[in-house]
Amino acid sequence: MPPSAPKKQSSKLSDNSKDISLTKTKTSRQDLMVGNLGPAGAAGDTDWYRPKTFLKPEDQLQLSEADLQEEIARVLMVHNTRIPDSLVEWSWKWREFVRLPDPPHLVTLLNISGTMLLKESEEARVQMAGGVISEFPICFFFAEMKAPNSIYTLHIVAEADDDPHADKEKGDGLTDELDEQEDEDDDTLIGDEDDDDAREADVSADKKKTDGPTEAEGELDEDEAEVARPKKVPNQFNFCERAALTYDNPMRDVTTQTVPPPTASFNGHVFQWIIFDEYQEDFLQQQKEKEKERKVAPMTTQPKKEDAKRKVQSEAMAGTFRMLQAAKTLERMVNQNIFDDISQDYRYWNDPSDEFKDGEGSLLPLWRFSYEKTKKHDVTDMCFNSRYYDFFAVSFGSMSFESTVASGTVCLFSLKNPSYPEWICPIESPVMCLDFSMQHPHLLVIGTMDGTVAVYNVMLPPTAPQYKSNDVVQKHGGIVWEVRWAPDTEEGNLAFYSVSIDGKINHWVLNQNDLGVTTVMTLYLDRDPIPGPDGTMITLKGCGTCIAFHPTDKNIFLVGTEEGTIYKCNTAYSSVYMKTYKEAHNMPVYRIVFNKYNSSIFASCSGDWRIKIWEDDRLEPLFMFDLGVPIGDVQWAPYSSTVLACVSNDGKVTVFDLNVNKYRPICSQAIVSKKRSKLTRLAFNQVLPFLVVGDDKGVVNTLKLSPNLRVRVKPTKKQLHLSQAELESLKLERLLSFVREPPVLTPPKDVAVTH
Amino acid sequence: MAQEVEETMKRIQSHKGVVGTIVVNAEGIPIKSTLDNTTTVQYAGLISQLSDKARSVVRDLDPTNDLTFLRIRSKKHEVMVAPDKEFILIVVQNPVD
Repeated sequence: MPPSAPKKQSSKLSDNSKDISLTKTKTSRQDLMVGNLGPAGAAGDTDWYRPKTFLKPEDQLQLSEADLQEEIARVLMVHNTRIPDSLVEWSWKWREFVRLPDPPHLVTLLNISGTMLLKESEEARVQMAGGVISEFPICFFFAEMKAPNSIYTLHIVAEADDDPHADKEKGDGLTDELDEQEDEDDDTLIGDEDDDDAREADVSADKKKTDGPTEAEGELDEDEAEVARPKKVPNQFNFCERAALTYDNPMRDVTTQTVPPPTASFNGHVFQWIIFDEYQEDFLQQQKEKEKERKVAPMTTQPKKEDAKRKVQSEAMAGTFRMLQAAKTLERMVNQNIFDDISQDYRYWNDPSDEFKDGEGSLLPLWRFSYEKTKKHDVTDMCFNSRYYDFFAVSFGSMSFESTVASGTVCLFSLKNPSYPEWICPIESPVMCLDFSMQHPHLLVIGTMDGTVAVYNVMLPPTAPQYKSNDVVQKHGGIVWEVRWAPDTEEGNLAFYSVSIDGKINHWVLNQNDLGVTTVMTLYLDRDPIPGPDGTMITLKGCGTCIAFHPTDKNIFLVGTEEGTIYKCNTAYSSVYMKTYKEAHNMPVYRIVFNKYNSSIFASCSGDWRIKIWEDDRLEPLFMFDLGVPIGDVQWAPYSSTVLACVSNDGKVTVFDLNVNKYRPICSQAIVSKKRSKLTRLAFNQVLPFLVVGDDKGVVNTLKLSPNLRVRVKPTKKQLHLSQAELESLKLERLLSFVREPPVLTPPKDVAVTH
Repeated sequence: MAQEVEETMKRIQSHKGVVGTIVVNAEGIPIKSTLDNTTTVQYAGLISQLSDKARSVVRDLDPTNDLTFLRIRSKKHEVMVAPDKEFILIVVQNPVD
């Protein structure tokens, strides 16, 4: 056979199979398309299909068209060409090769006996009738190989019909069979050969007949039962199954109930801040634990108890404190509601009539501050706090000798609560003066009538002073008329000055536990000593009533006395006056104040009805105003270099603006009734345009300055780069240049202010 | 200090237009009041709820922040509330007396 033959064949086969598949799978569209059109025939809506290509082995033989067209005839034959012929075998017996018979052309590949029966066949009928099946297999499957590589053909051969061997056997041993059947007394029927064994059937029939009468009587029931019961067909392997069914245990449900675990429903909102708080708490806890670890355990158990007690106490204290704060704030709110209109005025109202009043202003009364227990006291001093501009201290004492007042009070008021003081400190002796520290706004120094000075911390409850001068060795010999904070000492201690009626100016230093005192100056009068009651000669001392420190040179200060003299002193020389303004006033000097913008200018007021404005090193005053009544206090405005205000005994507040009018006040307004009370002290607020005035009935009035009283300098085009402070001092300088002119001229005549 | 609180509350009550003051404890129970019983209970209950809510609002916007005071202005009254974790102070004022 040529080697090309199988390949050709296979290709043909594959072609053939393709055809078959074509016919078989007409429903498969894809196969159809590919099969019909091939790789090149894509068209229509199916051209996106990938064409089916046949992979060819590389070594496939290339055939020409003619070769492909060539038909090769194949013939199936009944003899096997592969059968070897002339097989021989060595025979030991004959000592020669013996020829073996040719092997048959039949090749049995598979031989399985089946169990299927043809329904119409005899065995089937017998079986259905409850008979016995013959013990031999019914049919064989023959696979006959007709030719190499050809299709197998299957022959189903009914052996019973065709097998000649079986026929022969039956024919031979017919009688034996019969005997056997008799012996076995089996119900198996042998007569499956229905056509030619009529005789046999007869015999059996006969036999049945002969048996019948004998056994009929005895076994009739049995026969009937046998007939009724289908016969068991022994299977091929002749085994039987036996099975027994045991009793089923009936299903039973057994349940027990446990006690349910305790449950609780919990719900709540979780906000961001709750989470935040939890974290904070946790953090604190961790910090505590860390600290504990650090400390280890040197502490015994006893202090812990105390600690706990103290902790509870302090917590309760904190709670009460918070409640107090809350109550105070509520009081402020209530007051804000009550004094709503005043609050609005305080901040926003400006007298519109000022525009038409040329150079004259007015004062708008705002709140009245008073404290019930100090209604009979005089307001002896007032001072604004440097930290909170709407917070000021008022000292209540007495200004006159006849007064029956024997005690004093210091009150701190806030504008936010006009009805009640924020801080009340009762003091044994009438308080005459006070001063807030600039650097330490919580420290308040007071001077009293009995010559004592004390320092209070206003952050603490007003129970006891932080510092108090020693009653025996330190205190002044008389009324302390003015106290002023001094710059800190070189050691860093706080210090203040006090001036008293005993003619001494003391410098007090706040040491660790007590006050240290040095007398800076004793105001000896420039007079001859006079003999005392016991004949000793006594040098008279001046009675200091007020003190003012130079704003820039902290050593220089001015002291006013009851005699009306003003001394310019230096802390460095305790026995020499730098200058003496003799006869500066004819009555006690009540106040000396330096100008806020020009430190060489100062004003003084006195009981001789006059206000005088002085320049340093000039013995004659530059300005002099006579109001016709004793003047209790004078103050320069903080916002202007030429504005000053004073309070007089007739209950008036008088405001001067030297720039506007050098001779007359621009405002003179009665604040309290002239008959009933008189004004004593005055203080400008540092931030807002209002001032507070105190009277001798323990009332503090708040007055708002109208726009005309607080005229600012308008810079010219050349002065645009200057600050307000520079402008103010320029304004004052210009003004002074008018009055200074001839230093030797006679002083200008006093100008009485008409009332 | 407790005495001072007492005095301040008394003073507030004496101010013009103040209708009443109520002190509510942490549980929301009024412990001191100058109003009649039913009004007090009503105020205490409602205001404590409101201040809780208001605090929640403030804290939720910024957890480091806290509510300090609350003023409710109505046509007739102004209710001023000082909430704290241990107490609430309530003052009812008639501002236009």
